Amino acid sequence: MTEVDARGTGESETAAPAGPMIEVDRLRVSYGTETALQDVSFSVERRASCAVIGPSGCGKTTLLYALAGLLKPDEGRIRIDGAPLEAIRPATGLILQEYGLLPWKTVRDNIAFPLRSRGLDRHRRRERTDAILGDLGIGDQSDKFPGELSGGQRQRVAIGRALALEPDLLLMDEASSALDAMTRERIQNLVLGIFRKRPVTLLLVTHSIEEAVLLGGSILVMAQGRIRSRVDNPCFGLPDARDAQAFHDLCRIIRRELHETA
Amino acid sequence: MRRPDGPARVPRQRPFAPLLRTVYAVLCLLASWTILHVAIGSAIVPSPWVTAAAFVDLLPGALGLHLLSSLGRILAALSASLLLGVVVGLWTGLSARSDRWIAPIVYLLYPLPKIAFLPILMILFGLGNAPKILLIVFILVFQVLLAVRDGVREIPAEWFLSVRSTGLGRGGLLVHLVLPAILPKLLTAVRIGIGIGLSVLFFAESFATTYGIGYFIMNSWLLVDYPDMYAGILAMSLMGWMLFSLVDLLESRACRWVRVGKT
Ligand SMILES: Nc1ncnc2c1ncn2[C@@H]1O[C@H](COP(=O)(O)OP(=O)(O)OP(=O)(O)O)[C@@H](O)[C@H]1O
Ligand SMILES: [Mg+2]
Repeated sequence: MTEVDARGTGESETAAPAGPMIEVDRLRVSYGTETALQDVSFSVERRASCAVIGPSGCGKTTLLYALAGLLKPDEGRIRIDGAPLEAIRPATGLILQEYGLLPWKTVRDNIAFPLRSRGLDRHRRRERTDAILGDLGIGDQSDKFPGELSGGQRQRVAIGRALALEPDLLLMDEASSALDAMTRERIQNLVLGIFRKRPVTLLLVTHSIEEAVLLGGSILVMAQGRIRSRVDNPCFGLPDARDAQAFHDLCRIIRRELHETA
Repeated sequence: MRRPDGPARVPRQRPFAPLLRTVYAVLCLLASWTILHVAIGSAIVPSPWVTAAAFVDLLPGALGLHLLSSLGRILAALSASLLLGVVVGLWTGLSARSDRWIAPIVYLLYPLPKIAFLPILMILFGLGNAPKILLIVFILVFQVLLAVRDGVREIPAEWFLSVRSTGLGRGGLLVHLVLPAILPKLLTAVRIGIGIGLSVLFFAESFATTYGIGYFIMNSWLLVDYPDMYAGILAMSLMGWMLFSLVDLLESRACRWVRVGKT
């Protein structure tokens, strides 16, 4: 993996607010000799939500890393917020399933530590951290270590860390795949709530067809390092979408897409 | 790392439990010492009480000075080994290229019987503190270095990505990710280092030296003054015990998270 400068480009203020939030053009990413992504092109509008689904090993996490500026593409271009992605963007939040939290930091410190390098003083860090912990319903857990939390609480903290950085783009990898059904629904509702309340563009990777249809305004179906199809989701944002007939119809369509590509 | 989500338990201890266990260990030691003393029935194993009397008598005077000079040497050697070992360990752990150049040298030097070089060190650096400290550093630095390097290598790449995605630079990665992650391993290396360092120090101090607890013990032995010799051994053990306790204290403060979620 290539080292990328951690500073932002600072172009976001000057970039035109129109146009899509994410533009990916013929992206190719490889690990040494193994190609993980090829000929990937898509775009996601501002304040839209996009779900990426595909079989294990098809390159979903790789795509997320590339969009986060953590992997340098071999070919192709990525533009975020109108500007070419050349470094890690301060306003992009990345949420990883397993490795989001540092076990030696308390819940509060896990959320607050990146804020120090953003020039927030102790008081403002504390204020913002506590506000987010309260929003996520884990205010009473703030002095615990991640090892003392349940899986769902841990996921909330990981989401909280990303939100504390006030991102305009949230990238989530398998945000709820390790959770039980009830907790998963709660995290999904939490993500939907965040999406409605904040001016944020969402790109989330998932294994679950239901989750893709629930959380993605559009759905990218991937296989073997390529995007096979893009499905627009009319059910997105419907109240009680999980019970709607259209929801289940779309799940069936996606399932068929996945099987055809396999 | 991830375990089924049961209730995460933190073992809570009553505050005097560690003290109680220390008392228990001391009692065991005293009991076996007394049994040995009675069973052997010779001056080579004086009774604990005679030893304690000699210890109390000598500590404010000569023994205290010997002890302090040994303590100074061991602390200097530990600090130097830690500084050098951590810096080189981080460097080799974080950069595969530097590891390719440094690891072969380390693997050649690590198994050398370094204690055999004491006479050479004494010729080069005289009879003062330098050769003793250098010998210990020469032995400990490799352990620290390897513990740090392997600790760094065990950090999952995803953690680096996750922390870097927040915009932190190299310094932030070191402070928030790498150093806390290797700390438990490092403290284990320090513990082993204290044990080895003390025995090497004893050896180094029993040659051509007139200060240090090793010298005091060997000298009392030559003078056939067994209570004094045992008082010296007692002093050395207490020094080791204090150093170990210090590391334990540090660990319980800085590495509380390691115990969290483990029953
Ligand atoms: N660090 C790496 N070094 C080499 N190859 C890698 C690395 N990470 C991923 N790959 C390879 O790249 C391909 C895509 O991996 P990626 O992790 O992006 O898949 P994924 O779609 O996220 O899978 P999953 O759903 O199981 O998380 C896989 O074939 C994988 O073997
Ligand atoms: Mg993945």
